[in-house]
Amino acid sequence: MQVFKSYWKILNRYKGQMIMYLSIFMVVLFCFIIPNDMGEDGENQYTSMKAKFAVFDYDHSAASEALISYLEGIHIIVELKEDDTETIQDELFNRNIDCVLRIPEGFGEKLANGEQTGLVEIVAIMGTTISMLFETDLNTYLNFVNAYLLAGYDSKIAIEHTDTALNQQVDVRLPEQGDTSVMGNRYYYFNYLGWVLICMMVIGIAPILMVYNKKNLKERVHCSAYPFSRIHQEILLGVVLTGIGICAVIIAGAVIAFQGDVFSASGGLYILNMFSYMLVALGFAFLVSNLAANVEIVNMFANVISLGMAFLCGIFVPTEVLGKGVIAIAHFLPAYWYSQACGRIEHYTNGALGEILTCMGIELLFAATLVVLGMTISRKKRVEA
Amino acid sequence: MFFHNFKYALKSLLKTKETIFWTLIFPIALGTFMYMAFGNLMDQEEMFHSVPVAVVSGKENSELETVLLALSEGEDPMLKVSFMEEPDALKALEEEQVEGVIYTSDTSLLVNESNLNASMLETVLEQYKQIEYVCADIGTNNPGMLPEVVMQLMGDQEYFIETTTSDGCQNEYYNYFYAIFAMSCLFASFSAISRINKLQANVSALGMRRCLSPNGKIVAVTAEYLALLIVHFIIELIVLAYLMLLGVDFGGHYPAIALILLLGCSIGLSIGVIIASIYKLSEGAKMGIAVSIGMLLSVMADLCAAGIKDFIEHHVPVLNRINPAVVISDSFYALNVYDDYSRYTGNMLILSVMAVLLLGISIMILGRNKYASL
Amino acid sequence: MALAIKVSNLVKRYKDLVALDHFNLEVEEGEILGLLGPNGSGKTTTINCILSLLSYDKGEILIFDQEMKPDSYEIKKNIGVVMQNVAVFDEMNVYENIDYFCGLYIQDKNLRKQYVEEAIAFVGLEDYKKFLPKKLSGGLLRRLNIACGIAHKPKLIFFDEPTVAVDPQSRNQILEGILALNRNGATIIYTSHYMEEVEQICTRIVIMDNGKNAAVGTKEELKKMIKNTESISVEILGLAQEDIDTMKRLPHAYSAEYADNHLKINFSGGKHNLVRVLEYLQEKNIPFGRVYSELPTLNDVFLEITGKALRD
Repeated sequence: MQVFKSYWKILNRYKGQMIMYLSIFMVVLFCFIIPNDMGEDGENQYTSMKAKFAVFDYDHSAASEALISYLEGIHIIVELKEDDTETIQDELFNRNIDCVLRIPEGFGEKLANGEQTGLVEIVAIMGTTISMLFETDLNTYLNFVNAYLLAGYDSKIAIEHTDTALNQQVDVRLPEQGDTSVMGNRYYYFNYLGWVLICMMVIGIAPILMVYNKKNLKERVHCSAYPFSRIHQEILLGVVLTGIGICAVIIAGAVIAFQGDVFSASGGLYILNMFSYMLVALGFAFLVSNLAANVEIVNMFANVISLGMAFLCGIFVPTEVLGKGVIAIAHFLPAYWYSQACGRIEHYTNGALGEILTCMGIELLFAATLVVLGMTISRKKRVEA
Repeated sequence: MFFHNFKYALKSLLKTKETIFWTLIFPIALGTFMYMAFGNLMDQEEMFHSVPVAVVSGKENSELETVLLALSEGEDPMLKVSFMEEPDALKALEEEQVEGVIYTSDTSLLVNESNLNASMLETVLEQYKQIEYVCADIGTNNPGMLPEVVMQLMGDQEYFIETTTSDGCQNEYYNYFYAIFAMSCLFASFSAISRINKLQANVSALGMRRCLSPNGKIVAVTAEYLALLIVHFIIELIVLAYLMLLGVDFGGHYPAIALILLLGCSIGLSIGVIIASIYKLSEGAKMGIAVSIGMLLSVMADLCAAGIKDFIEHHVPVLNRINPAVVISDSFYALNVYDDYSRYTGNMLILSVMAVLLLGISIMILGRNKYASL
Repeated sequence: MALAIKVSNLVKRYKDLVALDHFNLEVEEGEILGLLGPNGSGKTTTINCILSLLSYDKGEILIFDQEMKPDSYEIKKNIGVVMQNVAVFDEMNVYENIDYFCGLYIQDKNLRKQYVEEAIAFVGLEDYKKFLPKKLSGGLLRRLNIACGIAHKPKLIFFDEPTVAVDPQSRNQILEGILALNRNGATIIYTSHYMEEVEQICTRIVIMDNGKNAAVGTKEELKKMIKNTESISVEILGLAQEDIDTMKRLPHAYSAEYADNHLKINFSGGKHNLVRVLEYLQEKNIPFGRVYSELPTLNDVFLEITGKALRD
């Protein structure tokens, strides 16, 4: 088992980087993505979109407070410390707020006098739907107050009646299977693996395979009494064990994060999907080991392939928003099928099993293709050498 | 002497085609993928476009239908209305040809998901109901004013003035593009490591021979550094040109952008030099450290997931001030979005200090001509 | 005779290990000094200390009568080094490599061009000027290594095991080249554990062991230091112990060994030892095959002085 032993010795040198990628993945996922409400449990009820707005009230009248109170009820109020351009711009850009409402002094009076323009100021990114929603609600409120004032009511009553009128709601329904766009935490966890697995496996394993490919070493080993096939078997064993080991770590992470959810039918499918994709990752590692001239380049390959697929196949950016051309290209990339499987597993119904298994099958096909490609290149190189 | 070293450093660098190729290709490939993925995203997801909706008419509510039709007229209408029978409407909804189905019989709405367009449709219907209520309310209590009230309610007054904080590009996905530059600047450390290893006596035989030259090592180091800086700077400019060609709008201010890239490369190279001087490690291990540092700093600048930089800004902002990737990214942002250069200048100062400090440390470490062991 | 190098009392420790133990060395200008010793004896360490690449704990190093320090640039101008490991740029061709290193010493473009061409001719790489190092065989690569070290015509040249893994033809050419350099006025320090080479070209030899000077002198002086002056080997089948003991007592003989059908007798002094051995064998009618008479080698010197073989 000499080759097998030496495999682990070499892997030891690269474990640092593999751990680094895994850590980045875990930290990003657990510290930023999951806590930020990006994964809510699948909703079956419709909820209106709410704008995040900040308000600076320089009037402090009953009217301004009533307006704020109304808006607070249907949107989300965010506190901003300072009313200055830079703070607002940054918060807008980072989408921490969608707009800022500035109520100037004298608002209450102007409203009572029936003025209809320039009562308040809204700072937003022009043309966005969310700011339009907010503005529409704001406009409606002030319009109704004006209507009641016109009808002869005084300010206070006008506002009261407006509030009542605005309580009118519309029945909005979702189709039976609920909102299929909302994904749970498990989805994000496993979906993001589509990026990390490739990166880790290529960076960790390709260099090891390259060590064995190095001409001198290869010839030296071939001259030994070790049978050709046994060398390959032992390397393969090492590679597969590495893959399984990493999967185990990932499953452990999932169990810690999601506890019981991992042991359900859908949890099981997630894990199965992950194993299939792991084989794809190993296929990439094998291919890269035959293509790259040195270790620096392996790094580049790993990052380009993993990040590229992550952007194009629905891992970093949901497929719903990708252009048609991009999605067409994505069909030729294994990450797309992995991500599609994840999406279907998240909203798992018994009927979808066939589709999910098809996706996994395609992933395995990709894995096989990558290995064949790698072997072809390796053979070609051997002949040329 | 300096020029001799510089000439050969440049020659040597340009001949390591693989490294140059990949240092150039990586950001270009990544930029292309990103552009493909979200070139249109902001427009698609956030900007308002007329909402296509199917309307299933019930015999009773022709008034709502009139209103809906009115809303779909003119330039940039709010809605794009199509009247259909229910089965067709449901199919159109499933195929996402419409965003929702309005049933005029009971003023209800069916949508696929809780999104902005659904909320828009909801708002339209709610307004209709609410106006109905107000008319009824006033009609009961003050019927005389009703016609004026109706005029008021149906008008399109805007009670607010809308302003914006910037005319620059507000596309938050640009954070990704800024991060690409940050990352490729930091990845210049790879080249630095491989070149500096050739200057150190305790790392390579080549380094040993060069240490014996009758000139200070500083001369050779500076020459190498300058050659590296020039080559990497040009690479960054090529990446910039490429992304602009694709259609990413960085807002003009090209000399200012060039300065960001120059300082960024300098910092990346200096980090590489410092890593290279940790002589106990193999070249592979040093590369590994360089990758780790580069990736970590870049991920913290939103390379892979938006919102991390912002999160850190709200909780531990000092980290963002000392992370060169974030400072680089923020400089791009500041140039794009702000009219004055104050924030940009502040960032340049930070980058300059970092560059000088790191360069100083790296030269000090490399200046060691005698080693305790070789 | 002026001294090119004077090393006094050099001590170098790596934690508990004493690599150089009060080592002394004097190298005269114009000589080829051989530094012999097994692996780990301190040869390379000595050279690295002399070149000021390695820090040392105690001692003084003078080159051309000036103290050698890392910033002794005037001295460095006159030093050339050919290291054990090939020290060239992989991505530059033969000409560019030599030009680069020569250019570190010679500023004048025209002069440098001339020197580079001469160096290429000297090592016989005229046909390989545009070749990249990876396309050169081991021997050619070594020659490139040498050219890079001597192109600037230094007065003092260090060769640290320059013929490792080199084919015999190239090896001879290298040794010839070193002699030529010496004839042109260069002082040469040559380290190796191939004693045949050292015997071939060195004027004086220093044998190192455990960081110390074990012996210093010319070949002849060294050989005189040891008891053995001649070894006679005879191929004999089935020699009796009695005969071995008798031959041990031949005049000037001090040891006799018999193994694998070979009898080896060591003599200290005496002029006609071979005749005596053959006479005895003929007297006793002992049939024998080949007969060798060997003068002591440096290995023998080393063995006697240090108690172990040179290539341990």
